[in-house]
Amino acid sequence: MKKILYLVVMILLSGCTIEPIKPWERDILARDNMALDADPMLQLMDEQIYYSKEAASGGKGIGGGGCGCN
Amino acid sequence: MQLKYNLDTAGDRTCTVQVRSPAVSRYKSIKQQLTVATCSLLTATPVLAIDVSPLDITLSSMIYSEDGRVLVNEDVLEVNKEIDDDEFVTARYIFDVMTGPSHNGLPKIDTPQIFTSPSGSVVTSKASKEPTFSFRDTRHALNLEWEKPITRLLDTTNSVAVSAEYDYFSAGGSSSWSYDVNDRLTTLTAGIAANYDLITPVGGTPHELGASDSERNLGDQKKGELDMLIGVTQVIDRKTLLQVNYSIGYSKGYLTDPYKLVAYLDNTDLTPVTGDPYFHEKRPNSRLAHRFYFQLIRDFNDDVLRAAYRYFVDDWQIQSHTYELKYSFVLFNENELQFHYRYYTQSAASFYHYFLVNGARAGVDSNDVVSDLAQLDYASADHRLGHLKSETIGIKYSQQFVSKQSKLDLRLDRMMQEDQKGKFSDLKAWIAQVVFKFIY
Repeated sequence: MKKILYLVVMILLSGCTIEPIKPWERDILARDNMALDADPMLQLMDEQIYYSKEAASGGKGIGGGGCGCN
Repeated sequence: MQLKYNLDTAGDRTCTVQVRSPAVSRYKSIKQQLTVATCSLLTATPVLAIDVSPLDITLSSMIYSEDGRVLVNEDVLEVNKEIDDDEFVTARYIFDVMTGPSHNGLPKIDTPQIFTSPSGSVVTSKASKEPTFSFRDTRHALNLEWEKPITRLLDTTNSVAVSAEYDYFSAGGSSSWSYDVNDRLTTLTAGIAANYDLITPVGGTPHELGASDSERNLGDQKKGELDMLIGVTQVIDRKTLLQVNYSIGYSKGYLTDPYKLVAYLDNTDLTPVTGDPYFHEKRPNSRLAHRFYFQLIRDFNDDVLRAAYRYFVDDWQIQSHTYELKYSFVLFNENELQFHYRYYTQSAASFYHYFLVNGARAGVDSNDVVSDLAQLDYASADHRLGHLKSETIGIKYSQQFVSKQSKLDLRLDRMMQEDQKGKFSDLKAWIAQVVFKFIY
């Protein structure tokens, strides 16, 4: 776990300092399919299903649940 | 004359008007007229945008169908409207119908099992088959969300939600904040959510660890949940985004499943003990969970790769790892074909037992041996708390219509769950969903 966190922090730091992009270079990142949650309705259903069928839930956002799922 | 007009990715407009003219007086009036005309145009645009702001409407229908077990149909209507610059309100209504047999916790053994259902009837299960309770329920849920920019860099989203089933009511709210820093290459996120649930089991609430045929005379039960999240989203380069979240969740109250039973078997032949061989489960009344979530999104010449990992750990001794990959191929007219794979594993809760036995036996874990049930603090045979492994493979097709004014998503997933210890039966399910989004 510590190794994963270390790796992520290193990537974050490299992103901050090595290749900063300008506002006019954000065309790719601005596309709908590059959004953090590109399919919110599919995500909503997935969270409901896996919340009902597995012991772990959450992580991507906050909240959830709200059912006595069988 | 130079006129620059730039619409950046966040939707912020900047305008620069530069008029270079000889120092001749007759040109000054032209310069003034151009300045006035330009500024009039720019100030008029947002007013027009507000007046004609359309409704974004999303319709979704999902079928979740387990092989031989539960069938769920979940329909959603969502309406989203921009009420001011970058300020949105969203209303979502969900209607579920759930029906079919659901596993009740008892194991697969060589003899039929006789037990009492929540409604009080006596049920005899088939030999070598995991017993189930059949149920039918509907759920209505409403969610209202308000997204508002506080400043150019600070954004907040607040929501309230209620959900009602025959035996379950839930109400909750959440608030999240995001703040852009580092020339908007980094977004810091924080959020909090709270839920209050009321559980009214069919047939009444049973006594935890009480015999399955004992009177279910306890009243309604309550549960509260609090979630907090902090996160960072970082632009790595022109084609790559990284999201990292940490969240903590605390639940307190009635966390037991009132419909799950635990079997107590004889160690000589693994048949139900004489007397009361089945009893209701009991879980701790609090749960503290930590989650670490990572998501990397990368463009490959218009195709998009999404890779996500989640680590989950709680004080019930459950640890889980979730890996998810999605790859989207962009086709003609920006239509998309996406392939999806998800892999999930979890360790069992400390109080999980596939069954309990009254004495040692070869092949039976010592944790499952209990000579006296009065020694038990907690026990559950719910497979969802067991040594679960789950895989999902799926495909999604997205079709754009009429100058991107509407979009259709079709997806089909196959989910396969199994016991890493090879004890409980596999669970397989189809997930089919159609989503249609349009502007009205």
